[in-house]
Amino acid sequence: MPDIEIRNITKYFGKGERLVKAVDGITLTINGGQFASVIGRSGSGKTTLLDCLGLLSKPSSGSIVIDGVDVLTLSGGDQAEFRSKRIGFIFQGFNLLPSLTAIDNVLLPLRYGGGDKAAARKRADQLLEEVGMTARKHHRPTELSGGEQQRIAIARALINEPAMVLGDEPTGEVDSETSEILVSLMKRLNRDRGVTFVIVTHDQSLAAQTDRIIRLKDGRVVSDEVIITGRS
Amino acid sequence: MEILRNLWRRKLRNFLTITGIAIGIMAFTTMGSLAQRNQKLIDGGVKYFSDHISVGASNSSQFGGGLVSLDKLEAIRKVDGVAAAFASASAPAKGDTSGFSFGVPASIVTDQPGAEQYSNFKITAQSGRSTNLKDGEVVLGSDIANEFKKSLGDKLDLPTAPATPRADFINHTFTVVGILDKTLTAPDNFAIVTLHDAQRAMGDSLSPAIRNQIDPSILIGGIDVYGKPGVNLDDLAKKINNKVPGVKANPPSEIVKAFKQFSFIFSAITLGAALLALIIGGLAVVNTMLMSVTERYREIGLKKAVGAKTRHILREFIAESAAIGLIGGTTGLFLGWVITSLINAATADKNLQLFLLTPSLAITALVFATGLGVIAGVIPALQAARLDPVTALRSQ
Repeated sequence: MPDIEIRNITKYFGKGERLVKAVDGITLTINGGQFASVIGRSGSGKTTLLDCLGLLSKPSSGSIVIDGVDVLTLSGGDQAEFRSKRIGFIFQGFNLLPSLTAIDNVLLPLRYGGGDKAAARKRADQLLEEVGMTARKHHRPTELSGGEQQRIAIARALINEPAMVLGDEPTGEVDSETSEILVSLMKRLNRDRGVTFVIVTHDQSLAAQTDRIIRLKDGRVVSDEVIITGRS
Repeated sequence: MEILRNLWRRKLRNFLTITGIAIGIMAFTTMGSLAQRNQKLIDGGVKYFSDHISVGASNSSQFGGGLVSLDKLEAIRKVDGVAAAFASASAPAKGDTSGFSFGVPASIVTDQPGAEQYSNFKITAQSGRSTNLKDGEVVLGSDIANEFKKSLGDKLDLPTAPATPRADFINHTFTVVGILDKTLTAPDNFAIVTLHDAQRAMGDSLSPAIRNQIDPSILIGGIDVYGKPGVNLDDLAKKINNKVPGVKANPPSEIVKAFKQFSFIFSAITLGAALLALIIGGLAVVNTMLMSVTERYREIGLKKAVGAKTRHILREFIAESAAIGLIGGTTGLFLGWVITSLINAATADKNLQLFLLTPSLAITALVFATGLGVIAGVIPALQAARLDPVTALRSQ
């Protein structure tokens, strides 16, 4: 599995006295297959770092190399394609499309990434089984609980067999019991599929279960505790 | 399907928007059908009048009329450039002329055997003959045959007697020997008889004071003049006016111009209805789609996060606004069809067809409505496509 290299990236907002250094020179290497968590207080820059890593926001400087590709040099269209094929996202608010069924939400990235539809559907069925949602695959999001919606979102993040999955507070809107279930699920998928997970969280107990805990403060890395180095 | 589900999620708002478009397209279809019906009538008039010169009495209008002495026919035939000239006489086909008539009223007109080889306006019979009549025979236009429920071999008194005929009312019995194909223009209301019978009907239609002082067999209502190949008909009309006193030859270009002015008015009515649809429907779609974009920021952000490019988002929102246009257009077209069909059915017994909803008008209405949706959807779609994914994802 590919490594992710973040080289001295910065992300500044505003100018002059109003300049905010959301990310202020972060350099990290995340090994393929690692399950890393990024923690820190509000405003520490963890979500901005995740946005930069997910090519949703362009850093002010620095470079990001994923799978050997210097992704910040790609055009907007190529970045969208890279995102579609190599990065999966899990959001705090689940972000499922209400007009689509569970399986169609899982298949959503295929709509923009192309590929073999029949094979994708087979993969979607398999993923839904892995996240324990086969019985509810034809339900719409409004018919599912928060935990169930997030399981669907996890399956969606994995449909294109990405190099890494980025999670922004993936357990932020579910109760602690459901949170435990979701963490176990993500760990299992990380282990079984070897997919790199990078999640941003406030939840110390969640972070404690990951391979690596990266703590940010004022846009900088203040500690980087590696428990397991990854499986690449 | 996803488009329809998205529309269904905001039922009331989209219903109101679609209703706005439907009203606009209904107005467009109805006005357009009225204009098409008139255009057909006008086209027939242009075709009929543009290939010959209508000669009437010296005090007649540009469409001919008045009483002309039959001996003018021979004088006109001798004018250089004239290929053929045919006498015409006409009279109302109904004794009761008080009712409203749309277009050309039902008329007794003259059979002109041989004119068909010069005329661009071809009339054909759906049954029996269309020309070469004998006295006492009549060929009926499709509407008039339908109104009087006559078929080949039936007898018909012309003009038809009013409910309470005046003491001096005269009519004669004719045998139907032909029924014409429908033309959607003047001949549909014609009862064609020989020149002799037409002259007699014309004479009978005059007031008794005049009728008793003239011999209708030497009078006609006008003369239709055809030019030789290559002869300019306007110039020929001037020549006839110069050489034959007591008649007025009307240049065909002036008649065609008059018809085209009518045509312009009806086109303006259709255009007005289209503009109404454009304004009402267009603004409604823009408003609906802008609200839809605002409400779906997170959805747009998500789609961008999972790989949607600008063109994907543009396409999805424009497809949605096009669907609103198409549904509104189809509904409006259906309502327009119902209205025009009902009115046509209600007036059918009076031989009054007010509307003509042609396939081309129906297709135009649908294309127009869908195009309206597409155009009105462009600005909201651009707004959606240009959204920053991070801002969109974090919006509430």
